[in-house]
Amino acid sequence: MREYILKKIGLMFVVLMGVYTIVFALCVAAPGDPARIALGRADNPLARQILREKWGLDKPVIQQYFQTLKSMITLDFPQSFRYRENVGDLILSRLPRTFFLGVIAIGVSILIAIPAGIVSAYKHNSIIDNITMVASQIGVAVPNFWLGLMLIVVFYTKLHWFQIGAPEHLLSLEGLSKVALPAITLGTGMAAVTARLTRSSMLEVIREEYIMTARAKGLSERVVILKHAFRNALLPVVTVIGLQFPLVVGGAVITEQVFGWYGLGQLYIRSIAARDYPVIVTTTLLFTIGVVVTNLVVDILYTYIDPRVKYEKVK
Amino acid sequence: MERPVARRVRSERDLEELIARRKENFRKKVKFALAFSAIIVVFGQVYSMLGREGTLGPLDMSVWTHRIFVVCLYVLAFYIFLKIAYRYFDRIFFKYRTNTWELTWRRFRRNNAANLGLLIIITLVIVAVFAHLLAPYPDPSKTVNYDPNYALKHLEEPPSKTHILGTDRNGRDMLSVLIYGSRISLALGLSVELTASLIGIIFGSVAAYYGGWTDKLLNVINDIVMAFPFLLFVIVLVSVFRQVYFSIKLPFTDIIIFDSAKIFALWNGLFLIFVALALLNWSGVYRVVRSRILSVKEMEFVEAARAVGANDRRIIFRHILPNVLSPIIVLVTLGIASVILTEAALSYLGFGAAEGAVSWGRAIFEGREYATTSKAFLVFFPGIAIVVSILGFNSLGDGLRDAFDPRMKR
Repeated sequence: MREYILKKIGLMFVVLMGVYTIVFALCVAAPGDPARIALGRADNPLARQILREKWGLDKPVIQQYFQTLKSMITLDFPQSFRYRENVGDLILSRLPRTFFLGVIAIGVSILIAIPAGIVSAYKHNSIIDNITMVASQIGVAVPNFWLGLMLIVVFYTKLHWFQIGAPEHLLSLEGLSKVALPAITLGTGMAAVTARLTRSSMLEVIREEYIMTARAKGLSERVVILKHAFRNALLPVVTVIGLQFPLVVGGAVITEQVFGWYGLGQLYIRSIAARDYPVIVTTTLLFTIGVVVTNLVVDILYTYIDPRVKYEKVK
Repeated sequence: MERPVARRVRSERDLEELIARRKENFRKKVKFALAFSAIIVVFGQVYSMLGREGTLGPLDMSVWTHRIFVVCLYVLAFYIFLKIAYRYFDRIFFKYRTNTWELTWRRFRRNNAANLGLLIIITLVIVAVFAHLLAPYPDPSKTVNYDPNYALKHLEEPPSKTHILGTDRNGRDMLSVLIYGSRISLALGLSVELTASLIGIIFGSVAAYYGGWTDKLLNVINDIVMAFPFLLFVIVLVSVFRQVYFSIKLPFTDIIIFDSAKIFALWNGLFLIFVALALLNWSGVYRVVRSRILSVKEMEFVEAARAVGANDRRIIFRHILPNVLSPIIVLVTLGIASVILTEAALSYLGFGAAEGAVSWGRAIFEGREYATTSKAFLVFFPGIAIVVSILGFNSLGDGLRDAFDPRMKR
């Protein structure tokens, strides 16, 4: 087990190095000159030269590669080209918003998916089951951004129930009102997947003999379903919720753009337009670390939730 | 399973003769079917030329019915050809026939959702292929068909009789935009998935065959591709290479071997998306192929085939490949849906189809500012097109998975 985890962590670093190299190579190969874009109308050769020297763009590529790598490892981040701020501070100022949105979206998806999954498994092949399954099929098929636009049309333009935009303070009435629509947009897509999985996993468990035993003992139906069946059906559900993290990342980029939610995703899109390499590299690495770490945690959680799962030494 | 051979067959020579005769018969029937469908197609072509209208403007209802009739003729011709070809193919090669495909097909027919999906996909393909006949207005992506005087008078019109789904912000008919847009979505989805699964099959079989450090290296590459935030990579790749012109020139000649502006102009700016998606979408196929080949290659039936004296080619094509094929088909079907979604998302973010191109994502991108106004129909219809087609591909893929592998049924 320990060996397995160590091996996985080793692989994680290899993967991170690979991702870093690819992103860096793309940034170097990109033909646009960030200094020229930053200067805009004030563009002249001298100013460009000064900026390039300041940002270290005049050095050889290999030197830039290792310098950036060193700054990533020591967490001593360079300056952003566009915002003239330390990249670390810049990302830290945006991170809470994306994190807040992601957490609420996952919360929404769990709140919708797990009850729906349990009910449709319990009433297998009933009308409720069919409706839930059709709804989940549609939920997978609907593009995130389009759903967001439609929610804006209905709940913002027509009904005026919620506000949209970026809030001043996250944990306030305004913040909650503004996070509602993006969170629903992000959450429903995930909920569709989770609901289907909860249903199929519950269906498998309900057929087991210990459920019959629990019923024979005279336990109430609620205890049988929630305590005996659901707990055992939880394992794949936890996995899929964990593995949805990359979905949150990708979805957040689009959803933030739709709702003007000023988070990491929007920062990323704008940095690309400005050729703001430090921000692009750092944000990509941050997202990748998020994905890789979640995968690892899910792997490890597996053994704790279900002691039957063991990782053998891979030859 | 073999079908019992006719009674008069007594010896091996009789059987060979019978097969030869049936093959001859098969060729005749195929020729007949080809000729028949060719006649229908020629008829349809002449018919469609008679009722064609080149100018921009509302189509006559009668013209439209003519065109739909022509499309029906084409589809009928194709159907007849398929049916005859299948029947005679089946009879000729009964010797080699296994029952798996037919069983799969029967299981598939029993699944309502999957049939609905198949229906949607067939309709989508017909719409894409015959877009030039079905669209009420000529191809909106071509500037020749764009009449500014007409368009300026019909900007952002709500649905009406002349424009069934209204017009977009450039004054183009929305229904025509969606019909021609289906071509882009389907072409991109198919080409990306075919290329990606080819990469996946090659890498997967190489990894499974050689093992050792080749396998390890490919696994690490696969891990990197999977850990990469997919959308971010595509955005970086596309945005980096789209705006700026640069080219690589061979020394001492005038031949330019790499010209990013020209490559970007291909397919209305979707070529780069194709490259990026094909480079990133192969890991599903790779994993399936690798694990399947690893497990199948050790199975008894392969050993048995080898013991009977089958050569490598026969083992690969008759015993290993059919076992790998079905999950690949399922993955490709589901993958097309995700490619369509990704293309739409990229176009929405402004990194997709170029200005003036027709694509569903692009249509939503152009209509997004109207979501808070009373003209929300500009975003509504393209979204419906995306949702319906993805629903089709997803339920087709799920149905295929259930049909191929009934044990996996959820």
